[in-house]
Order: sequence, then structure tokens, then C-alpha cells
Amino acid sequence: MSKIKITLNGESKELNSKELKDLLAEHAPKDRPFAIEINGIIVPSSNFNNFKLEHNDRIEIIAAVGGG
Amino acid sequence: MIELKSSQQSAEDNLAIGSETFSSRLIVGTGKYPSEATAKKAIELSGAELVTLALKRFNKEEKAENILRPIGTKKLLPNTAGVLTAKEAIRSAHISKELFQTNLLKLEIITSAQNLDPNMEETLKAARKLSKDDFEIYVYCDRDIKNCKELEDLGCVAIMPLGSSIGSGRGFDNLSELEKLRSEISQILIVDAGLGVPSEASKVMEMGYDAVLVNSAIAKAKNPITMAESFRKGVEAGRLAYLAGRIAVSNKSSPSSPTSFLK
Repeated sequence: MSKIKITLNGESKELNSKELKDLLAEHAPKDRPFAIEINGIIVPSSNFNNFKLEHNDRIEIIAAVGGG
Repeated sequence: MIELKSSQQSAEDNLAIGSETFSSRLIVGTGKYPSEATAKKAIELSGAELVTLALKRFNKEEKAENILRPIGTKKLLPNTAGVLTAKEAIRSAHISKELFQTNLLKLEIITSAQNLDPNMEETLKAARKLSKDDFEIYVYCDRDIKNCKELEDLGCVAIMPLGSSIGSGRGFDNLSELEKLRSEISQILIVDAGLGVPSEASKVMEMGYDAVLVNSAIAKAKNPITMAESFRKGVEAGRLAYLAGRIAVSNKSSPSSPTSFLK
């Protein structure tokens, strides 16, 4: 299987799988909710399991932190 | 104005903001606490029912604590913190809505990473857009009457002028501007940022402000848990005094005891 090159939270990465769910299994938090933005567009959590990544996708994994 | 018959009556003095109703008039932030356990106890003792939090890229290597744990079942007010433009704020707002499943939003656009005072041009631009997108906007802003009136007219559910710079603990840079704002703005008014001690919270509550938002003054106190409790009491005292109605200020003395002895 060919690798794809993406940017995750501002850092370049090469992935073996085009499945978003595989990326999330490795990099998303397990203990708290998170949101996913790909190329500036929010991906609803209901789409995580069947979403296919493409070359040069810019992916952001975003979670809550303390704030005022 | 409600009629106070006893201190029990204050239990009915609810605060309605947009579609929400709260019995507490203290909103607390969740940043800068020394530990999750301290945050949890402080938030509990503050009595706050609405708490702010922010967004960040998640990096599993950082092993950041899960801020949602100490918050428990409190209502969330996601903050667009850290953004410098209306465009970024709008992006943050939509991510928050998806992440927290809420349309409550604290709109905060700062001037620069060094100057955390509000950028009003960008704030107004974002408020114009977000007010059409089904958000209940609590807006961090300056004390300019014209700006605050425009935010009120746009339908922001709470106007939140800064007391002084975020995290400064300086209290008020200009108390008379805050007082003037209260007389001009009928929408919910909340002092956000800069408070250091509960007497400052009391002061603005006595002036008729609807609530205060406090983070650093509690989280960075030597004892955050006790400071949280003190802010709760300060806010309650100020609110009760406002409802009770202060006596007229006079330059003359006025005896509260007989002025002559045994006559």
C-alpha cells in the first residue's frame, strides 16, 4: 500500500493508511472529547469511521484546555 | 427589583443570560491551576455554575490533564482565547460548537500575544457574523460605550468589559467608566478580567453589574480553594447590597444615636 503524506497539527507525517479512524486510533485522546478539522473544515464525529484521507490534507486534532 | 424580606429571599434572585438561568453570579475560568484536584475543589467552592475553558491542538506527548474532569457537570462556556482575528474566532467558535455541543460562546479576540486587551475592530466584526449563526455570545470587550452598545444591539447575551488587563490582578483601570457603562447598557453586564480580590467583585456588583468572571485571581492565589470561596462571598455580598440599596452619599454627618445625653 502506498503511503500518504499529510500535516497533523502543523507537523508533516507519512501514513500507511488513508483511514481517518486509523490516524485517530494512534493520535487522538482516549479520555476526552476532541474535534477534527481537515483543510479548515470540521469533520462531524459521525463521519470519523468512513472518512478517507488524501495527500496533503491538513489535519487538526483539537481538545479542551483550561482557559479564562 | 425584587423585594428582600430576609436573606432567604436571595435564593430567588436568579441570573438569566440568553437561554440559561443561573443562581450563581460568579463565572470562573479553568486556566492556570496548580493541579486538577485544586481546580476541582476551587470550582466547587466558588459556587459557579458556568465555567470557561479553551481549545488547543491535542498532542499526546504533552500528557495534558483532562480539564473536563474537574469541571464535572457545570455548564461550559468555551472561549475563543488565543485568537487575534475575527476569522480565527469564527473558526474557533464552530469547533467549540462541534466539540462541546453547545451554542454558548465567549468571544475573546486579543490585540497581540503580549497585549491581551481586546481588539475591538475584530471583535465587532466577529460578533456581526456569529450573531447570525445561532451562538449565544458572551463578549469580552473594552469599556467604550459606543462599542458596547453595538455589541448589545447585535444581540450578544452578555457584554463583558475588562476591569483591567487579563491576569494582572490590578482590579480596575477606570471604575467610573464601568459605572457609566452600567447606566448606558441594559443588557447583562459582566466584569471580565483583571480582578485581584473579592472586594473588587463586590464593588462592581454593588454598582449593579450582573456577574463577574474570575480566573487568575483564584487559580494563582496562594490558596486557590479559599480564594474561590472568598470570591463567592464577595459576589453575593455585593449583589445583596445592590438589591438592598445603599444610603445616599452626603458630605454632612447624620447621627444614628441621640445627639445629647439624658436630656
